[in-house]
Parts: sequence; C-alpha cells; structure tokens
Amino acid sequence: MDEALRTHVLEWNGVTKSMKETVDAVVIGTGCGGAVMATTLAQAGKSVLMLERGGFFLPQRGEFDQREDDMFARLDGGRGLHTSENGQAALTYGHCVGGASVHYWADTWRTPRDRLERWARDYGVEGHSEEELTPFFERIEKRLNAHPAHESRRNTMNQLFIAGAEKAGLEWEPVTQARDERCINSGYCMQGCAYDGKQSQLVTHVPDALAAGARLFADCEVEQILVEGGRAVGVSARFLDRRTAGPSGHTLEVRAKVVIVSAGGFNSAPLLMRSKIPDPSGQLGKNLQFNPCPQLFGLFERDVVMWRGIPAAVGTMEYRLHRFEGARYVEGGYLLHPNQLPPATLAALLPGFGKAHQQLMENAHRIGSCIAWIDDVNSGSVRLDGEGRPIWSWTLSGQDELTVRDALRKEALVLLHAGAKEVIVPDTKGTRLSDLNELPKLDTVDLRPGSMTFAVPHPAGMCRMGKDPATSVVNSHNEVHAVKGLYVCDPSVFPTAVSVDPSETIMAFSALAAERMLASWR
Amino acid sequence: MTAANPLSRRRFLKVGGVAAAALAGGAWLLMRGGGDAHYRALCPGAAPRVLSTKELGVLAAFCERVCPAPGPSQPGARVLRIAERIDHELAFHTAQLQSDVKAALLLLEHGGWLHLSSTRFTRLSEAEQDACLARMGVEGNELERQVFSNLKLLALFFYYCDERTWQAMHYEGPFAARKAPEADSRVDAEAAHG
Repeated sequence: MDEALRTHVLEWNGVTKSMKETVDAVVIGTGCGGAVMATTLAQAGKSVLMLERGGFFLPQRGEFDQREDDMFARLDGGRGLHTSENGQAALTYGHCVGGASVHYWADTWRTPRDRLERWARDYGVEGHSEEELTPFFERIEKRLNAHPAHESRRNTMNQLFIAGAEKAGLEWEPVTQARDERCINSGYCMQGCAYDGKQSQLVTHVPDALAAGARLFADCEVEQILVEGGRAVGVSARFLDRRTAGPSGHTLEVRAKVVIVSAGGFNSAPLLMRSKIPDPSGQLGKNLQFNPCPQLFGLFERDVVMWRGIPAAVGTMEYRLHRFEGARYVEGGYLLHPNQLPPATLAALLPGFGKAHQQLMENAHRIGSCIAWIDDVNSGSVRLDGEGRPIWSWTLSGQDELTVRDALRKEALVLLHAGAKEVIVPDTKGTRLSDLNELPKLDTVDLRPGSMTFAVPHPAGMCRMGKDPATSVVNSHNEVHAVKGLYVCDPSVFPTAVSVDPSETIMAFSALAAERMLASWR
Repeated sequence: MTAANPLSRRRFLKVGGVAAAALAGGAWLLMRGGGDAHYRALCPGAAPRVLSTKELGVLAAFCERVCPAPGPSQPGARVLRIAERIDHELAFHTAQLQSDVKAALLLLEHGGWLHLSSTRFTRLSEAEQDACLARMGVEGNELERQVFSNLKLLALFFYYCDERTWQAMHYEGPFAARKAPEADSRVDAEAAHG
C-alpha cells in the first residue's frame, strides 16, 4: 500500500493545479460497488481512475483515532448530519475511501434467494439468479475472510441477547463477519477499524485495485457526467479542500470510454439528476428504500459496557420476512440484533435532559440495547434544491409503522427476558417499561417526526434495475437505459431493499457487471 | 450491518406552517432589538463563526439546562464550551443546515409566543426553562419537538465527546491517540493546530 499510495493516490494536499485525464474507465465512488468494479477492470488491464468525494484515511497514519466526533467528521456523509426532509430519517452513509464499509459492522450476507426471485419476477431483472451469483459470493467471501463469528467474539450484550432470545422463545444464530485475526474486539467498528481487522473495502478491494494499476483521486467531487450523442464520455469534477470541506479552486475533467457511478444509494441518483441524464421511465430518484432502525435500551443491574467487543456476533433471522394473515400484517419484516453504541452517541439518543439524563449516563455502562433493521416497503424519493443538492423525502407510515412497532415489541421481549430491570424507549416522552405487562405501551409510542428518529442505512431503489426502459433506470448489465456507456454499480440499482446487510450483494452485483462489461468491451 | 447513526440532520428541522412563519417574523424583529450584552453574558468571551452573538447565547442557555450541571465528577456545558463547539461544527455544513439551526434557536428563544407568553427563554428562571423544554419535548407540536430533540441531540453528543466527561460515565476512552481531523470543530482546534 505504501508504494501505491505514493504513486497512485492523489489527496487534497497534493493537488496544485486543475487537471485533465483520459482513461478507459472512471469510477465515481470507492465503496463496495466502486471498489470491486475498479479492481475487476484494472486486473483486466484497463486504465481506471477512481474518484472519491471523501478523504482517504489510514490507520497507519493515526487517522482512525476512535473518537466519535473526529470519526463522524472523517467518515460519514454530512459529517453525520444528513436527514430526510422531515428529520425522521437519519441518513447513514460513507463519505471516505472505502465508503460505508469503513464504518459498517462487517455483517456479511448473501442476497436471500427470495429477494433475487422477486426482483426477477416483479421487476424483470435478468441474469442475477442465486446460481449465477454464487461464484461471485464465494470469491467475495474468500477475499473478506467471511466466517460466522466465533463464540469468543460475543460481548456481554451479545450474551444477554442470546439469553433473552432463548427465554422469549426466539431463534438466534451466529452472524457471518468479514474480519481477520487482527480484529481485537475493540468496539470501534463504527469509527473505522484502527487495526485493519475489519475487512472493509479500504483494506481489500481498494488496495487490490491500486495494486492492479488503478489510480485514485480522493477529495474529488464529481459535479457532472458528460454526455455526447447519447453516450457518456467522462465527468467534470472539482477538488475539495479537506480543511474547509469546500472547493479548493482546482478542477478535473476526465474523458473515459465508460463512466461508472458508484456514489452510493443516497447519492448516485442525485448525480444523474444533476447531470440531466434522460429518464424516460420517470423512476430516477424514486423508490427509495432502506432499513430504518428502531432501537430500545435496557437498564441492567450488571455491567454491560455495550461499546466494547464486536457489535453483532449473533442475531436472529427468524423475523426477516413479513408475515400476513390474508391481507392483515401479523409480524416480522426485520432482522433483530444486539446493538452497539459508543457513549456520546448513546447519550444523544437517550431520552430526557438535565439531571434525569445525567443519572442515566452515570449508568451508561449498565445499559444494553437491541436494534432492528426494518425491511422498508413504503418508498421515499429525492429531489434537487436550487443549487443541485439532494433533498431526501421519507415518512414512516403504513405497514412500515406496524413493522416498527412489532420490532420494538420483540426488542423489549429480549431485553426484559435478559434481565433488564427497565426498558427505555428513545422517544421524547421517555416511555419506560418495567415488565412484560407493559408491552402494550409500545403500540402507542409516538413515532412521528420529532418524537423518534430512525437511523436509515442500506439505501436502495433510486436507479432501479429492470428489463423495461419504461419502468426502470438501468438494464440488467447496470447500464443506464437511455445513455450508452453510463453504468450505475451500487445499491441504487436494487429494485427494493435487500432485507439483510447489502454489502455482499453490492459487491456481487458489481463484480458480475464488471465481467459482463469486459465481455462486451469494444 | 452499517452502524446506526443518530446524528444525521440534513434538514435539521423543517420550519413550516403559518404559525411558525408568523412567529419567525415577529421574533426576528425582536432578535434584531437590543440586549446584545444579555446574550454575550450567556457565552462570555466567545467568537462565534456561524451563529450571531444572540443565537449563541440562546444555545449556551439551552446547553446548560440539557447537559449535566457542574459537579465534582464532571464540568458543565459552559466550561466545556459546548455551544461554541456546535457553532464551530456548523461552519463545515451547508448554508441550509446553518439556517435551520438559526431558525431553531429563534423559535426556542421566542416560542413562548405560541403559548401567549412574551418572555424569552433566556429570561426564564432555570426551573421555568426546564418546564419549557419538557413541554416542548412532550406536548409540543411537531416543530417544537424537532427543535427540542435536535438541539438536545447536538448538545449531549458534543458534551459527551469531551474526554472530561468520560470518567463520570465509566468510559475509559479510546485505545488510540487523538489525531485531529483537518476539518476540526473542537473549540481548541486552532490552538492545537498551532
């Protein structure tokens, strides 16, 4: 990496003038989609330039300092301050080389077969069956050292989750993790791994791409995709000054045979919209789905120290799919996991203020938590403001609200059965449950904007894939229907949310797209 | 899974509705009025980058009620300069977000108008301020709830990011040494960078 850093990576403080480049492929974004695409193309001998709006940070330079404030500023989109228009959804995405994988929990799942079948049946996605993707899953899992978490990685909160789930009659299982032996269970996964133990893109496919000859410009924001005669021919971009988070004054123009947009599920569609990419389907920027995360806290009489160890060595898939009786929603539609929050983030979420909040924080080491990842069904959208910046719209409603309430109920069951003497709801009212008889309180907890906020990782849908140009944005080769040579390779192309952590799905789709692109390369 | 980030606030709050517009208009006139010394005294010695002196004063008063009171085991929000920290953080965000926070502070200071009280938040007694915040959070309309919960989120997050608060909550801190980001919003950042 050291040699590649010196010769193949350009960062903010190395930019001294505006530049022009000509390459085979320009890849916008370096997360799971972009890094895999860049690696595959570079290994095939193509000249590849990766552009990343965020910074390039390395533990070897001491830049993963494990402080919540510093790492939000380095790694997170909007420095952690981006939300939906109504403030109800707290957008969680990466803004650094490696993308969201740098702050993710390393949970690794193949795309569920039922989801792939649904995408084929309902949206006309072709060539993405489980059988066709399996070789890519296998390759990715090997590169990421993905294995079910060993028992030794279960921290106290994980052990409480198991105990609570078993008493409540819920199934549980180990969660497959992308980690190697360098993971020391520090508990700073959300702040980016300082030990290179978590196998994010930063320590896997980005170095692979650089080793294969790809180049990387960090702190470089693409403003427009350039289209001539119905074909993408490059991008115009500007370099950012990392000290101010604003433009440095230097620009970049890239001419390329193919343009690959991997700016992430929240930001690829806005880039296409800002570039005025034709959208005969009318679906660009619509169909936004993600995994809203309701969470509850449990106050225990023993130490939990939620912020140490890996976040989710175990969890339950039992409720992944929604269950209905006729048309009536019954339960399910989420994954349920032990939660991990570092102290300041925990403080920001706990209800109350002043003395009451202080008393909670004095017991922060005895607070545990469960989190659910809701398989969102009601869609949001994005539009641009007058300056071309995205405004995301989403409101918790309908079936999703029922799903959230069911998830809260299951979380409370686990926490109370695990021995929590009190369950704390993070609503502004500060609702508390002290025993199972109080579960019905969760049926009326105020979920409206301003009362409860939901972190929303794992966006999908705003450049959805499909066969019909009248109903989808990209074809099954990830190429935009209306513009040749323009590809979207990130979760934006998934017609719906994946229902599990999407990282492996993103990588597999991207690897498949790269191979198909190479097969038809002219 | 990707970490659950509770801090996201692209649109810090959505100031909407006729009542809010009317309130904002009237309050803006009030905020333009005198009393700078009153607000300066709430955050003495501060040099805000984004907020006005008055806005920073309102934020400082809010932080003092929301964060722990000064005690033997932890300093208060004033000593930790939490309001200034938030102001410095805002310097790295969009004009829209900055504007939203300013609007939130305006509503906090003059929101009494919505309840037929002309007394500013910063002129209330501590007990009255606590009652006002409790009402905003629990009984307030959507706008008031968002103002309360979003400002509270910022105040408590940055308060507990300060290592001087860690011992009181039994947090032994990171294993790695600090390396300030280039865009550092800590109040002592300029001194640290030399």
